[in-house]
Amino acid sequence: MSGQGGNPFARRMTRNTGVRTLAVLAAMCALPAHVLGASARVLPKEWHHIDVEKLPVFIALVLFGGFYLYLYRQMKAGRSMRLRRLPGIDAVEEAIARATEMGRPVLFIPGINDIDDIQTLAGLNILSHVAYIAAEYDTPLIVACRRSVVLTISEEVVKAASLAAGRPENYIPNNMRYLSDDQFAFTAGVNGIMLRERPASCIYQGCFYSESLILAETGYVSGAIQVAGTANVAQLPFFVAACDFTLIGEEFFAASAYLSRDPTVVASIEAADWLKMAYLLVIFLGVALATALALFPQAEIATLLELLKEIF
Amino acid sequence: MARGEAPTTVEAPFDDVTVGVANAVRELEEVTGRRLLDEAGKLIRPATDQEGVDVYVSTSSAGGGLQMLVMGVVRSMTAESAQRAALGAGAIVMDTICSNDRRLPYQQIQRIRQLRPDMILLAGGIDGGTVSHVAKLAELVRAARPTARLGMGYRLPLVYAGNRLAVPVVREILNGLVDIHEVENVRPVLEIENLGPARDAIHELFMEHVMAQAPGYDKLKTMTDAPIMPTPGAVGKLVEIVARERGISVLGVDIGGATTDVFSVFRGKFNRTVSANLGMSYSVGNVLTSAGYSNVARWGWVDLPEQEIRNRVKNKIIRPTTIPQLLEDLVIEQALAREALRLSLQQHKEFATTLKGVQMRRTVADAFAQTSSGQTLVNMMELDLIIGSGGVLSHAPLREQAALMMIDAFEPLGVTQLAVDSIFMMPHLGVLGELAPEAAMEVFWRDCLVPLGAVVAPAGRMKPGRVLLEARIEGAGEAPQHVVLRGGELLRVELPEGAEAKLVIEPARGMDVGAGRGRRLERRVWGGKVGIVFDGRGRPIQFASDFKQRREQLLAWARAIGALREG
Repeated sequence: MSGQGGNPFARRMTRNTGVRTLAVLAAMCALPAHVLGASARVLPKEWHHIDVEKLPVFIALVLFGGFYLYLYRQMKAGRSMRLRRLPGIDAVEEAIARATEMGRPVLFIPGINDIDDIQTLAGLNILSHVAYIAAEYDTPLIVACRRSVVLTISEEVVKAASLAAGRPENYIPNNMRYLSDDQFAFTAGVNGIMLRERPASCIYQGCFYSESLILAETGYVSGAIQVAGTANVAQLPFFVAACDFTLIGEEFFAASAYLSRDPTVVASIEAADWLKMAYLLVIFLGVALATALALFPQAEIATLLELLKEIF
Repeated sequence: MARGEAPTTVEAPFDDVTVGVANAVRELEEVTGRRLLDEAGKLIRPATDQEGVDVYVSTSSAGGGLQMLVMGVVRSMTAESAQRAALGAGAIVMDTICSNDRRLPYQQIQRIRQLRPDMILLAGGIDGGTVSHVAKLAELVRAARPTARLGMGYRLPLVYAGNRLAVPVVREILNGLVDIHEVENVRPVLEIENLGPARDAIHELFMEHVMAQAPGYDKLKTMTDAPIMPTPGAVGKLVEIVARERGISVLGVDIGGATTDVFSVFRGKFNRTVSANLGMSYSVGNVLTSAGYSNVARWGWVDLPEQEIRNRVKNKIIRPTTIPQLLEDLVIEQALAREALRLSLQQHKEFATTLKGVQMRRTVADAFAQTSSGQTLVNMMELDLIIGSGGVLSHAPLREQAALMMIDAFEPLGVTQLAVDSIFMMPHLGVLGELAPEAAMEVFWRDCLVPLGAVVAPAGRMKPGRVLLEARIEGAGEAPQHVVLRGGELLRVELPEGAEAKLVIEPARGMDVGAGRGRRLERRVWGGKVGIVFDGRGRPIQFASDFKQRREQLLAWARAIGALREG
């Protein structure tokens, strides 16, 4: 990025705002100011290729990477990490058990988006867990898909999970259903399954839009236990109100770690939490500096605050 | 109230249980001076002023009691309901076989074959629900061809309490192999549990089939005025009656040599669990293993090395009928009892839950607190009465020790009354309660229970030395008494047996004694051998980490309650 670009921080750096700014930066980085020396009066030319606007992303990446590596090593060394209970995931087994006692199937919908949506991938991950338990309980599982690619992958997921549970016969090709690419035709098709085949449990995991309430309400009326999970914030209230259990936002993505307990995944969940804590600390620092500046208007505080604003 | 006892004569050379009954009644005659048996050794009836009895009731735990195998489709649903029905009827559940018990069919068949139960309870599926899973369970029984523990050549009774639609299938599979008795489904729908019919059928079959095989029981049956019940079933009956009559929540515990039974009634719902490997003699080694040495050792204030304590426990396993001779032995035994009681209650809490698999109704407000079904019913703050039974509690050298053991093990919250069963009369009163509930209740409160008093324990964050509550006790003496309870303290206020007092408790900010955080509570309590105990040790009880400090702490608590009398 050019030193004369639009970013005021970059401008200040190139205009030789001086040792003071760099000293503050050094202090933040726990480096002694004298290290910078007098030659630091101007930003070295080799710094100019850095896109300072993307600095926050870079810092986040470095922090996250650091946290992740540290936590991963800790987990490998035997440290156990506590994952908060996710009632929505714990309820999956209960929902399948209910279907078993009632002699009815379980219905699973991996959202309505295509496979390129991260939510669909997360939903398919949960489908694997559901299919495994359904096979263990010897209970039929119906999967309804809106996209053909999602159907193909769902078939493979269910087949593999049934095999892993020792009941390959629990994979029934006729229960893997592609309904329609059209949003509401798909919704009508799912409602038809709910009313005709009366599944005892309906599990919605993925990306949902306005059909969420239609599906959840029909499931409720049919007397099914319902477990939903989506990262679409606008749909969450509908799911919460109409379903027995709901995975909210990030819980939905954390489900993979929760289910697998794999150190690689669990460490990433905890690293993300640590990163959030780091952001909170920066916010608190910003608030403290702004308050201090209001009370004691000094140039150092102003510079420090400005620096913080520019970085984040 | 009098008591007579005699050793059982159910085994050779007598092979007749009524001989032992007659011996016990004769002892009773000697104690009371009243003639109860005629020349032929039969009970004199009807009673007159000088002789005879009005009613004779009996319970039985002969041969280890009623041993049952329970089967259901899903462990946490129909299998759990079936288990509740069997336990409620007083049975010992030998094993629970279900579709999701993670055993392969051949392992399940092998297990059924090994067990030799007195009876099988088969449940599964709601009415109109799964048939295939129930059929699979029936096929397991068919493949195993189980034989009954007692009696030769009689068909094993099987109570079927599952899906109505599966009855013809079950009959077809098990035809001629077992004696099938159909009753109403234990879970007609997942939202409702219907245990009564299964329990009644178990009692009936216990009399007709199981007891009929035991020597002398046919004679005993003609003597009794009410059906013979399995002993734990009768205790459960009494606990239920007490809770219903008084409208209270009750927790009863019977700690034996091999097992510990826990009974509870919370929100009108009765539950019983048997902790099969937690007991004070035959199972004492298992208590040490399950609780862990450190948990047992935290209650011991005697300075003994770990190996010495382990050796003493092993000695108890080798000689299960011995009782402590030294103070050290008593301390170790009571430490083990605390842990056995604690673990039994923990198991009971996990079992006594609301029904699982029910549809829930939510609002948006529930978004961040999505409680699941299957929450425990055992709420220590709601608990009104704890009844302790079993040698280590009923025959503790000091009643204060029994009280302290129960407080330490159960960690009650709020205001809770404590009592122990004096002479293990509860089973008989349970049966009597069927015939004359008022008489049974009168005897229970007057003669069966030994009231120990009440315990007041605030819930909340405890800091040593911080004032947790202030209480005024009206009726404990001539003038009202004022108590200030601080964190880490145990205080005792005398309130004699038979006396009643009014407690006015003002908890500190953030502390709860049953009316809510920081809210004042007024409650009437009855006294007993110990009186009123104020427990400020926190929940869970906070111990010092250093042995010397912990020793001082334990001694201070024991002295405060009167459980340790020097000199």
